[in-house]
Amino acid sequence: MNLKECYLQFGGDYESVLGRLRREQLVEKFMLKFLEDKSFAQFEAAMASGNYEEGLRAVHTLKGVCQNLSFTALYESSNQVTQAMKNHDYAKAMEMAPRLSEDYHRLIQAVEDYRRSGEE
Amino acid sequence: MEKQKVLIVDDSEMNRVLLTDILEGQYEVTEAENGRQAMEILNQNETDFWFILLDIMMPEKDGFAVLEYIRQRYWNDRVVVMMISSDDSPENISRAYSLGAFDYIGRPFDPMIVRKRIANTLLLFARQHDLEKTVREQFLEQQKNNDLMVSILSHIVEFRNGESGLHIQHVKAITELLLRQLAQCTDRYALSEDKIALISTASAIHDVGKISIPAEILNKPGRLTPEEFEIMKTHAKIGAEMLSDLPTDQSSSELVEVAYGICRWHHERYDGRGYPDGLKGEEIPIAAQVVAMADVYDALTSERCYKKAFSHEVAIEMIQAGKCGTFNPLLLQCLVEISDRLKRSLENVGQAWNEEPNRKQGSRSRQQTHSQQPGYKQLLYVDPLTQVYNRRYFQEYIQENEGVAAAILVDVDELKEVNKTYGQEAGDLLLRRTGETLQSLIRKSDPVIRYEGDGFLLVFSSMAKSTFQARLEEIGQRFRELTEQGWLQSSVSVTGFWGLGQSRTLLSMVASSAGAPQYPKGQVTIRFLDEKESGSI
Repeated sequence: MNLKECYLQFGGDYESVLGRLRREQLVEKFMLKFLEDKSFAQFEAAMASGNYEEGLRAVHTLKGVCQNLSFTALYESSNQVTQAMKNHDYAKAMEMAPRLSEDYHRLIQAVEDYRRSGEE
Repeated sequence: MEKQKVLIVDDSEMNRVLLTDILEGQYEVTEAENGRQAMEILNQNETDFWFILLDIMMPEKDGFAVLEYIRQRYWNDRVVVMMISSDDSPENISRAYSLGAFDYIGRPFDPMIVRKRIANTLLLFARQHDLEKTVREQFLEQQKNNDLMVSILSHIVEFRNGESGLHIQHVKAITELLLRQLAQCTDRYALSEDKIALISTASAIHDVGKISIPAEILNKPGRLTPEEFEIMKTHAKIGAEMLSDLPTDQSSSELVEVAYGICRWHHERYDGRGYPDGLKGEEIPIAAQVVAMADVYDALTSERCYKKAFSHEVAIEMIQAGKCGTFNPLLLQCLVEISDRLKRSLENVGQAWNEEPNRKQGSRSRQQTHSQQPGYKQLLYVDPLTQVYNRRYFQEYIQENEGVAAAILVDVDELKEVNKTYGQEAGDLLLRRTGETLQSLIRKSDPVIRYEGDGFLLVFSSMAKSTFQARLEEIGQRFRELTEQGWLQSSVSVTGFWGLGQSRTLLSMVASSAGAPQYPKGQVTIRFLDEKESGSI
């Protein structure tokens, strides 16, 4: 699997990110770096303990990172949750959380696969 | 060349790494995880120029808090902020701008655009800074030359009169004090700060016409005969004519116009019994009225070839009793009001004058070095708004002067309120006047420092405890007067710190008390803290 196919798999915009960062190696570097990003885990933990303020901050950060790396699908679901949380509509946020989780794990899965295919 | 410092403030490590990757090599990059860390970094490097990329939503202290922090410390001249939040709601962006952010970079980050925006912004600042510096230096240079020429001119006259150089200095100092007091009593004469400075400068040449009086008359030890006195009296008119004979473009300058009035009419009296024109009351320009009084006071208190010196108290009494002609009642009132300060400040002028030759033998204190080199040091150490020393100066002063005995902190509380209610200009004016007031109250060798946004610090290197306490009361009293007169409506706290002569100890006393308590509105609070008693060592 190459980088472009990986982006396609998790619903990202490869042309757009390459257009900005210019070099494939950079795109790859930051995409792999995202595996260490903790904002999604922080979001889940905060929501589980009912700390909405912390939850908003985490999902907001996640959204910002997705924007920078053109993780389009995950950006959209995190953006929707961010908006709902900002409006204090926590019921709606919870309702959309599964899709966010799904998009997140699909992305992580794709990136993990990509990394393994490179190592082989 | 050193690289420009860039501070990236963002709670997301991903974003910091991305930006660092974009900027590394070209800039010296520092990272902060939240607003609190950013504040700490800015505080540690107080003299550096920073370019900040600032996120808004962060734990501990958010981006708005950082902007507010910068604004409160008046750091906008050394910190440029570019917002990088992914929250691009119009409310947030507009709030950031109104708090002083310079620009905003939206997501996603495009490395080329980020680099260009930063480079262009820095270029803009560098240009502006250079321009400001050039203009200020030119202005100072010109001012210095003006003062120098006036000084040379007046000394020629003094020299011929066989008087000491002190008379000119005294008349200038008294004129300034009287005008300041007068400006507080009445609006009638429209005495702005610029106007006061102009009149004081022009006062130095009040006797320029004496250059044409024969030396035998000028320096005659005994009383003048009526004929001789008539000749002596012509100096007023002659001085004025010398000025009006200047080429038109010079004689129409404000300085020369004011000086003309002073030369011609500084021997007129309020009841019309002076010379040369017998002007009466307000026909005499206020500049000439004030210089006339200053001239008389100094003549009385100085020894001349034909008389001994009177004491300050006797001189004031004689003027009040009309022994030297009639003066404007309002000016007589001002003279009484400034009596104590007059007595003290003249001692200071005398001291500074006598110390003059020492200056050339190397700089004994920074204060003196500064007054010799108005160029870049002026820019570096002087607060442009209030013209008193800035905090950078204070820090270096403390390092070089171990034996600082005492300090007074004057806090104009609720400055924020003033800014909000009456606008920034009113706040600036308040600060300027506070700075001026303080400078007029202390010895020339004691620096006044703008310690915080609205706090001024006076530092005394050697002084007896009782003198210090008296000085503290006096300063507090002065601010009470100002509050009563109504130009100061916020509350003021005046705190005196008395130490054992260790700069560092004193410094920590000041730091631990700064900005803490709240005082009743519209009141002046005076406190005295003794290092030994407070035990805060």
